[in-house]
Amino acid sequence: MIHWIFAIVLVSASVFATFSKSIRSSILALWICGLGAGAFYLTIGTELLAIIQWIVATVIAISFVFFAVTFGEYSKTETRPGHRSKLFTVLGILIGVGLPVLLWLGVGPVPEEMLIPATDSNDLSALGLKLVSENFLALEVLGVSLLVAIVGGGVIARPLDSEDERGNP
Amino acid sequence: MMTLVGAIVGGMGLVSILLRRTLLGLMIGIQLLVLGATLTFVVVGISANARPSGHLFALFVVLSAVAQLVGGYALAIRRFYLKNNVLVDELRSLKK
Repeated sequence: MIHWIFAIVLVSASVFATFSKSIRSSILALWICGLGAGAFYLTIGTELLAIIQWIVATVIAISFVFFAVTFGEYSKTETRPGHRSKLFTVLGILIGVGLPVLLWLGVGPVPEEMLIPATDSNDLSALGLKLVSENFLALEVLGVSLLVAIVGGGVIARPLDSEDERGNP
Repeated sequence: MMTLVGAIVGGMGLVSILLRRTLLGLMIGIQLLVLGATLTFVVVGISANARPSGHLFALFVVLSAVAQLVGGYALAIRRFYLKNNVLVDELRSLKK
């Protein structure tokens, strides 16, 4: 099945994004992860989610490149990527292995025959109707959250111009 | 096995959050974690015969990750104004 190809791409790209030496490669791997996830959604007939995932992944990758260049991190490479104290390393390994194992044990496998495009409740109009009827409050909360995040981000990132904020008497 | 794929991507995100040293690396880890969570919602929604609900929940998770990213960038810009770097290890205060 074709979704296994995308699954392999996804896992490989996520491992590469985690352990890559340069932020540039990590951003590229994250973008490939997003594209792979979108492609997987397409194979199971979730066109809306696939398109949104592709758009979001691309915008996120572009913004990461922009900010990495701005902060001077784009060309830097870590000589010892992932090297932290023993506690962090052990915690990282435990979580990296533990979370997949826990989810695997808790949820279990999905039958292969279910990973196909659904015949009902799959078209865009049905999803759109469900979104604005049953999930209207969640949609509104999401919209307000995005607005607050944009306004709050602008406030936090404003230039320091007052003497108090610079810590000068 | 598809559940495992989502879980591995999420697990890699958590590892990245723990091991990366810069705010951008941290945010890449958070994005991986969100991607893994989205995949898990979609796949579990399919296996529980709740396809549209799982998909819609994943949609909300993807879009709320954008809000998280905006907050992360704002903090990184603030940090860069003050210390001229975006290292996490020395991040104790957002005031000079």
